[in-house]
Amino acid sequence: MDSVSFVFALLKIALILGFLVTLTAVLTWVERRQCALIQDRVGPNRAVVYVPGLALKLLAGGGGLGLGAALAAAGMALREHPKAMVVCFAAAAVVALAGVVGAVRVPSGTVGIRLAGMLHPVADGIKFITKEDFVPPNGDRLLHALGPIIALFPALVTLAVVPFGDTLAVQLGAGGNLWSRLAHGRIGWADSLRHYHAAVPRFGMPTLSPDLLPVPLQIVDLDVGILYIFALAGTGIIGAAVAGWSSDNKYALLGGLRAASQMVSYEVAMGLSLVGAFMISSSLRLDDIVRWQSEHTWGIFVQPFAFVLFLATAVAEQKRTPFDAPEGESEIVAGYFLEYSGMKFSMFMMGEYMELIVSSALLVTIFLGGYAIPFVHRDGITLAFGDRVLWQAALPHVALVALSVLVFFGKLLAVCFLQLFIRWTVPRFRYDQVMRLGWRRLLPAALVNMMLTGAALIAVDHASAGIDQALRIAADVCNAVVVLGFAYGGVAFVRFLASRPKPQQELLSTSAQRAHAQGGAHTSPMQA
Amino acid sequence: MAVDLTLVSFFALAALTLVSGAVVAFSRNIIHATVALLGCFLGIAGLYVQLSADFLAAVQVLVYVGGTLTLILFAVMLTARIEDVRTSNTSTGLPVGVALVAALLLVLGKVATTTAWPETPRAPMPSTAKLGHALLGDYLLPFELGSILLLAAMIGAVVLARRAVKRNWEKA
Repeated sequence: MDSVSFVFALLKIALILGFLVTLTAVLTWVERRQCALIQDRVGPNRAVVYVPGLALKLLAGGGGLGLGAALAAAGMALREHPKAMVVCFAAAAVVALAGVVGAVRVPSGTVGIRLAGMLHPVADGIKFITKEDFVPPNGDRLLHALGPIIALFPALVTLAVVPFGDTLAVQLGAGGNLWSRLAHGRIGWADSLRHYHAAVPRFGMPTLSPDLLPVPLQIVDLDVGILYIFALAGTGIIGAAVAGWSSDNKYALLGGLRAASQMVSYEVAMGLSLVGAFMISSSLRLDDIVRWQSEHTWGIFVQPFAFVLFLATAVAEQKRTPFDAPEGESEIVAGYFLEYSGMKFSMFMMGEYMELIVSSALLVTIFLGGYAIPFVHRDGITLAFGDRVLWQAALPHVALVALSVLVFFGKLLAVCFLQLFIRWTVPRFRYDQVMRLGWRRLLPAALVNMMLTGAALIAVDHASAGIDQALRIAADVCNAVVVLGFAYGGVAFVRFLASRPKPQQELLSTSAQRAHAQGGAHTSPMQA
Repeated sequence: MAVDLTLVSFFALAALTLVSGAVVAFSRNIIHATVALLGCFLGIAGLYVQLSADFLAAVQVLVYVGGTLTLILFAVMLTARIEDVRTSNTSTGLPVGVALVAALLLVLGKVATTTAWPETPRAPMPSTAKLGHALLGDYLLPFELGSILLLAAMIGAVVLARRAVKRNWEKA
């Protein structure tokens, strides 16, 4: 491994770990916000940091002016490119103005900063670290400490094989040190969009010329790919079981056994539900699966049942609410982490949210196109149905790779949000229902899906050229549906943001009606 | 540089495997022995990775940790007061044991000295597709016989586990 690849590997690890930990903290906040919205409660808004207003004024004004000055200096440096210079100067003016206006509008005196409850994860972190770490006196001290570590470990390392962007091709110029070579690695950057000639092939790995270094945006590209994720997810089971046993508590032991048996059961259906997707892309490598989807269409169109099966089993694997049999206030209290407090408890909780992120990443990678965007390939946009090309536009390589990374993380956030929403929407199953659903419904369904996929694949392999062409056009129509759906969703979202919220007031009691008739009731300052 | 790192990771994995194996064998607490088995399995999987057997490594963890070890944990945890058992079977079979271990060491030593071990680290060698073709091609009969054996074991387990009489609340 040469020095450039090594630096990139470190950067990728830092990016993925940082993203994972940050998103875990943010998701705890999102979940509390969501449930507060659904249940019409205040939600997290108590964590406050009090700051003197003068410091805020200085920060806003100084930051705005400083950033503006930096942008203006960048504009002066870009004198040869008039358009870029104008953009820089405009941005400098806007930033400086925003800083000054912000400084004026900050009230004097002490200001409480709540950030819509975003400070709660920070407060929780401080609480977890400083809390007493209670170990049951008759429990097993060693295993009690080992349980959360075994449970958290797979969630931390499984994201390593998930590709989060298209392969970045870095041009290694001759001579110079590492950083100057990186700075000149603007592979295929177009002089203008019309006269762009891609130096990398449209599909496959970019290994055309010897001075091109392909950097896969994935920490490690394993051939066994998804098997690695399943294998390590299996070690998490041991963590829950060991935690339940070492706590010296009957509820915890029952919870640990429930968690272990539930995870073992659903792991079978989970693995089998993905076999169809592997058969179609004929690979276990997640990068190959994404490339297949980029060349054809999203996996959800060719494996719709598998998507539902995988989503259900993934929620069950995380032991989240429809499947939260391992914990239950009325039956076995908090289950296997009943005797855990402080940072050890928080490790279980973080493990749960990290598993949610990993399973969302898998859903995105296998069924929702991963980092791929419909009609966008490595040489730019090609709007085509079958062989009929309607419109083509070239895009620079760096922009495409950056776009693919953004798209992957955007999809990931959306699926995480969906999974959080499931928790606040679906009522929980009883334990026997969980087991029955897993073994009698989901497992046979996964097997049937596998067989149907195999039959369909044989049929497609022996199909005539006409049917083949028709399938290609159908795939492109699916891509078009995705694009139109996203366009409609984007417009609807902007309209929703722009619309004025309609205040809805339901006056239930007579006293409230009287108060309303007399000009309204006293409004609570804590109301969100 | 690369060779050094391979060596370091080999010794780390070997130490993990041997130490946890020793804990499995000598620990007085059977739960500790079970959990130490996890380290043993993971270490062996790491050794498989070093021998370019990536598929075998993944399946090793998948089957032995996700399946076998969980089953062992269930059996051990559901046995009442198992952590109090301090006796080990020391009464019989010492000569037989010594003979068996000696025979095993002889076979292992023979294999270790006659195998042509690669002296330089190889590039990763994807083995999944090759194994699949081999299992469904040249070795189809053993593969199918193995499946039939597993199916028979599964049916046997179902027959043993099911109750002949349904309880009142199960009839519906």
